[in-house]
Amino acid sequence: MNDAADLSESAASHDPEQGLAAVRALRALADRLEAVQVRNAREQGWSWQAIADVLQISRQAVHQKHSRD
Amino acid sequence: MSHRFDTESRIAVAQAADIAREMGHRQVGPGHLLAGLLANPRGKAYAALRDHGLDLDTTRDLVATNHVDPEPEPDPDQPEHDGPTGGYAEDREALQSIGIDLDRVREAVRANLGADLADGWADRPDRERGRARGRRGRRTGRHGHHDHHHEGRGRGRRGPRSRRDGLPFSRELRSVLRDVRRSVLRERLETEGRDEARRVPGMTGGRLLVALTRSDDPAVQAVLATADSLDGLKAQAQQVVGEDVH
Repeated sequence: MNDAADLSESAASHDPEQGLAAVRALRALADRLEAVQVRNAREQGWSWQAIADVLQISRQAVHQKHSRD
Repeated sequence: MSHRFDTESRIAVAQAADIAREMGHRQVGPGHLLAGLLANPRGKAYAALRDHGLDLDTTRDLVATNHVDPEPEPDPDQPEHDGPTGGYAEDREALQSIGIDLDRVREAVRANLGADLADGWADRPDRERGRARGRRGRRTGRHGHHDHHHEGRGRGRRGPRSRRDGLPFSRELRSVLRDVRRSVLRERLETEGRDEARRVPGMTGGRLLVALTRSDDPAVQAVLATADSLDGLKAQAQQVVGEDVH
């Protein structure tokens, strides 16, 4: 169910349903990780600007996305 | 997807959903699908199953007692709409297919950061970033319309519903269907010539049966245990697939 054979068949899957589902899932994962990591950074006293620099997005964007969390 | 289901497999899936509903189950599982194949006497899979001593009534009884519905996990966020885990289980499978073990990532995050990745999974109002920004930019007056329902915007936007009209497919059933898709893909890759590869049949009754005989779903296992010869059944199912291909 995993490993090389699966990767070649699914990651670059010719079947759109599989390929697109993987993309969607990766986005969801990135979104959740970002939320968790930003909160952690804030708890450790990082400024919005510092977080934004590492994420390579604007300070305003980070703030807008995560200030409510 | 459905255009790649042949008639037999389409009937089987529809029957499976009916059977699950009749039994009062909340999900359609591989056991229901097996019964669905047995509910269509014109199907090739039906013949193979009958030849090995399986009949619809007994199968239904076994599925009714052995199918396991998942525990309902109330999602405080979206109690009705998005299933028990808000797409987490589905995404976990998708990520697994590209070599990412979401549960391990979740575990690591829990251990190191004390947060649960699954909380609010796929809950992402920020996906509408572009719009939100545009709205803000345009608003110059200070006290605009405070009471507009901005709150409502972010909700209910989790992409197309994966739910069919009726019951959702269980994890095990989706895994069976994935098994079929994988076999089709493999055969197509192994087939020389583009046109020939395209002619390799997709979802068929025979393929569903082959995949079901490989499933470790408890309901399927209970039914297959009553077959005269499991190896014989597997061989015949494989033969049905072979006939479709050539």
